[in-house]
This record gives sequence, C-alpha cells and structure tokens, in this order.
Amino acid sequence: MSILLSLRSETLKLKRTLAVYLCVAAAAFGPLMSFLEHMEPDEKLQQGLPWTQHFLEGREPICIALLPFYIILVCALMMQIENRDKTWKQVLSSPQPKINIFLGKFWVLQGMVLLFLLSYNLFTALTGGIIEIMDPAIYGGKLDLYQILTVNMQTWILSLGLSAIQFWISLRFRNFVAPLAIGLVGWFMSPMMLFQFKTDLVEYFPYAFTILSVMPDYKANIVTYQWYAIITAVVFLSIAYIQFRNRRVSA
Amino acid sequence: MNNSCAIKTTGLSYHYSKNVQTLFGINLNVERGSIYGFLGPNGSGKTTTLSLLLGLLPHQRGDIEIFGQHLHASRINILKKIGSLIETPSLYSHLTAKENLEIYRPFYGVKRERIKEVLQIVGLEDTGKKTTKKFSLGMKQRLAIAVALLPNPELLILDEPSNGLDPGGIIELRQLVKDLNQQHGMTIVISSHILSEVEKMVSHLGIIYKGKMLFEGTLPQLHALRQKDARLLIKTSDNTAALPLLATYGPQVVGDAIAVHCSSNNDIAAIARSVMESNLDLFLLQPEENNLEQLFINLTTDAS
Repeated sequence: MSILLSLRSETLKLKRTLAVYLCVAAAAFGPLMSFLEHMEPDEKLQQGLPWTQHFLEGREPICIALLPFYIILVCALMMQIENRDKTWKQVLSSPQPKINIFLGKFWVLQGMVLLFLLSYNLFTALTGGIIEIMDPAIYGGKLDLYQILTVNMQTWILSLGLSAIQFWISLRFRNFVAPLAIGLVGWFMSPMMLFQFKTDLVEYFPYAFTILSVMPDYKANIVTYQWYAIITAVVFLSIAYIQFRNRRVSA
Repeated sequence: MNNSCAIKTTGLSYHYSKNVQTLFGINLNVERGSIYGFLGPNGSGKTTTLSLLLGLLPHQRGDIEIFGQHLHASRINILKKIGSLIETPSLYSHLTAKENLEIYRPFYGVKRERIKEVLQIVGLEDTGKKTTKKFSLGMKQRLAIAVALLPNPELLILDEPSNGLDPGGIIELRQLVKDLNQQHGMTIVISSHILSEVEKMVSHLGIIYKGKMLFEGTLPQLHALRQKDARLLIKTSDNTAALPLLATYGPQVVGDAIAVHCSSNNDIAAIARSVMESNLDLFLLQPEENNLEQLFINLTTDAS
C-alpha cells in the first residue's frame, strides 16, 4: 500500500526531533502531579476507586493544557522540518500521490497524539505502581480498565478538531511562529469564553473541547462535542487538502 | 510524439502573478540519451520550467510530455523514472546521509543496497552517523545528487548542480554526468547560467532568456552560430594605420584593440598577412570572448 510507504517516510522524518522527546516529557507531567498529590493517604481517594481516580486526576492537566499545547507544537514542528530544510520540492517530486503525502502527515500527527496518550497512561500506571509498592493501603483497589480506555478514546476524538485546524494552519504558514501564536490564542480563548465571558459559544469552539471534557458542568454533552470535533476535522482537513494540492513549491 | 523525445513541451507558459508573465510558450525538445544544457541568466525562467516538468507548480498553459506520456495524466509513473535536484539541496538536516536516502527509497522500489551504491558514486560512503547539518555545502550538494540518482533514473534533472561546489567538485560533477550518460544511458537535463560550465559536457543546448527560448539545437549548431558572429581582436604597433587595412572586415575600435568580423581560418590568415606586410608589429590576434551574455545579445538581436 503506497499510503503506508508515505506514512513510513513521514515517521522516519521525526527521528531525533523535539516532537518525540516532548511526547514523553509532556505526558509525564500529569501523572507526576497526581503522584505527588497521592503520596499522602487521601480519604476521598479511599472511598472511590483509587486507581481509576489516579488516572482521571492525571488526565485533567493533560486535557486542559498539555495535550492542546502538544498538538499545537507538534503540528508546527512537523511542517517546520520541511520548510526549514526546503524539502517540499523533493517530497512533491517523489512518486507518491499528493493525498498520500497529506494523509501520511496527518496520520503521523495522530500517531504522535496517541503515543502521547499512551505515554500518559504508562506514566500513570508507573506512578500508581510506585505508590502501591510504597504503601499498599493507599490503593489496593481494582482498576476500571473500560472507563480508562473510553476516556482515552474520548480525549483523542475531542482533540481531532483542534488537530485539523492546527494542521491546516501549520501547512499554510511557512514560518514557525505564526501557527504557534494562532494556536495559543485559540487555546487561551477557551478559558476566557468559559470563565470571563461565560458564553455558550464555547461549546462550539474546537480548542475548548478537551477542556470541557473535564469540566463537571459540560460532561453531559461530551458525545455532542465529539461529533463537533469530527465535523470540524473533516471540514478543515478538506480545506487543507485543497490548498495543499494547488500549492506552488518554490525552489 | 516522437519516441526519441524524453521531454517535449509545447507552448508552455506560466505566470506567478497576473501582471508578470514568467514563461512565454516554451517549446522544449530533449532527445533520449542526450545531455541537454538548459542555459539562461538568473531569473530567465530555468527553474520555473524545470519545476513545471516535475509538477511542482500548478499547470497553467501548454503541454508537457515526458517519455511520451502527458505529465498530468501519468504523474506518478513519470516521476518514478526521474531523479531531480532543483537548486539548493533538499535534505533533512537532523538525519544522516543514509536516513535521508531511506526517506525516498521505498517510493522508487529500489533495494537498500542502492543507498550504498549511490553514496559510493558521490563519495559519501564514509559519513556514518554524521547528520547532514554538519556537512559542508559541497557534501550536501553531492548528497542531493545521490538522492536524484537513487531511482537509477532514465531522466536526471539537475538545476544549477554546481552551486556550492569547488573547482575540483565541478570537474568531478562533469565527469559524473558524462559517465551516467554514457554508461547508464541516462538522459540528463542540466541547467546553468554559465555557458563554459556546461558546454564541455552537453550534446544539446537550449537557451532561455526572459522566459523565451532563443535557441535550441546541438552543440555544433551553437558553435556554428557563434562562429557566424565571431570577432577577432587585433592589437598592432599602430592601430590607426591598421584600420584602413582591415576595412573589408568591418573594424571597430574596442579599447586599445580593433575588433573585426571573421568567419573562417582563411580570414584570420589574410588579416595577419596584411598587417605584417604593412610593416606593422602584431601584438595580439585572438578571438573575442564570446560569452553567454554576448551570445544572448546576439541571439536577441537576431530574434528582433
């Protein structure tokens, strides 16, 4: 399958890049915070499912800031590799359909997002395991694996709209700063809409979907937000591909 | 289309913005097995033409056929047979030479051994784990040529490949181009803005100036054209006295020399004889340098 060749090529390009190191470092942050918090016995934690609680608490900083930041940064980094080294002309004169190049890049981005979520889960398990070894009385409970998987899947789907918008912006702008700046403004608008302006429009704002998933007042609509994220992704990926297909490549 | 043609463009035109036309109806005919020098000063439209051949720019007007197939109908099949280097090297600076080649290898369906082969051809087989950001410009240029050679292409397009190469590197490149053409039968299109740089290796030439093709033909045809416009520079002990002797050759004073039109060796001998027989000392008798700029001027004048 030629699309797999494009995917392989795009994956190889990320070797030794910041995107890979960042994936691990950023994913470790949430579980580490949760670890430090749970080192001391916590009555509230003891009443529920401590392992599951540990997973879900570690997810909050991921959904609010780390995952959106990671996506914004990785999108910009991926495109910057081609722009910095002026490799677009070689990529586009290689015998691969443009749709494969486009999808190869987007799939690698999604692979990095999933790797980020996987790293977060592994770090959560690791920190939880350390706590368990240190004091089995703290945890000891069972883990609701189904809930963990569902929540991970939801987080990924909710991030799709943001991924597609940042992918499009990063593909469109040749410099590194513009996609980062637009992404950060987009992210910053989410808490502003939520807390400052208290507007319902936040429920349609793709940068806010992962944040809404950890806000108790909005959890009920999480399936709707997932659909919004998917629709946003389809729309922006279509726009991005049309522009990519017709782009001029300067020498 | 003639089967002997590797590239044929018909009426190829392109504009980057509405008011600025870059190419005007370019008709390019590159024969299979030839080394085609694509010459023109900077900004004349060479890179734009080559970018169109590789599908890097959206098609606007005119037709492109490569190996008898229309580029836009069979883009992937055509690109599998083409190796290219467009201006600056396109390399991933955080990857090694081998990794850079590995990025493209699967698309051409060549074996891993081919990577070693092309690195040997360009003399970069010992770069090991050194990433390309630590390469000199010459090394980068050679690696970019290795990328172009990776598919063992039937057609090799090199846009200003000697940029960044030292004189030794330029000689090596020239030899490499000849070897690839003679031993592997590759058709090679090589662009340059320096006539002397390519005329030592090409069999055919196309000259482009301000987006228009001024000349296309074989090297002997170009030489004949240059011969037609050739001038001889003469310096004597008394140029004023020499001028009437050279009246039949259309003499012109150029600095401290006299330039005369001369179309054959017999003319040269006759000029030398008449100067010597008039008891004038002959200090200089040499062909005027017919460089690319002069050639463009001549061709432009001819065209108008």
